[in-house]
Amino acid sequence: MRLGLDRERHSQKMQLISAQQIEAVLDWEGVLQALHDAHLGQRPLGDSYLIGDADYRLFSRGVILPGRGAGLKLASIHPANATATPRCQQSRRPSW
Amino acid sequence: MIDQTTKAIAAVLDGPAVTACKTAADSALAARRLSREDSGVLLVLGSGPVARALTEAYLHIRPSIQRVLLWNRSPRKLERARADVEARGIEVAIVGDLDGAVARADIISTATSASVPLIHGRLVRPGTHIDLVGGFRPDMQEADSQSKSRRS
Repeated sequence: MRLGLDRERHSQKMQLISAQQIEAVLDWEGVLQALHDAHLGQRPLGDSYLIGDADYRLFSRGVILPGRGAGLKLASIHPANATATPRCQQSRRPSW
Repeated sequence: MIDQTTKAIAAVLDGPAVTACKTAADSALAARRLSREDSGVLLVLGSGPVARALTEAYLHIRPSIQRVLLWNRSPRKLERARADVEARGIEVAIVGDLDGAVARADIISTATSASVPLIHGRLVRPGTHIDLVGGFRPDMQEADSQSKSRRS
């Protein structure tokens, strides 16, 4: 049985971008310039949610910058995460 | 990240890597305007990825830095950071006497989870740039109140 998904719409693959890939792409001057421009630009629409209790919490923050894009930050907050953060793909810690 | 055109999820990024870079860049962006251009001694407290990113970011914005001092409660955790700075040909030292290092620094950047002040304002020289990154809860404090009252 076929699910009847919109194949064209779903043909775009979601990328998993590792720390190693991030490090390879970003340079300090580029990041500084982007931050500088962002501070001078339009304030994004956004909101945060924090759920859970003292033992475990889940934080999420979504933002929409009209005309530019949108993003969602997700943090799983647990004491053990400080030493056991799962890595994206087979990446390593950034050298910086 | 969401694709602007299709509104579909386009990518999932490694969060800690982005956080370390972005956090350090926030500090560096401010320090580019606020710290002295002739700053020669950088003191970094902490051994995590944010501390390492701060070191790199400060070395980028202040090529005048000739000496990097590193401090951490567990000094052995600083060996990799020391090697990274040494590889750039910059003098680097892991310091045990934190008060002495504070008194020598032109820029002090902290990325620790300290709950008692590590930086004492009476030791900070006039013109020193202080960048406190680590404290994110009310019970955390990396510098004493005198450090802030002496700000210019």
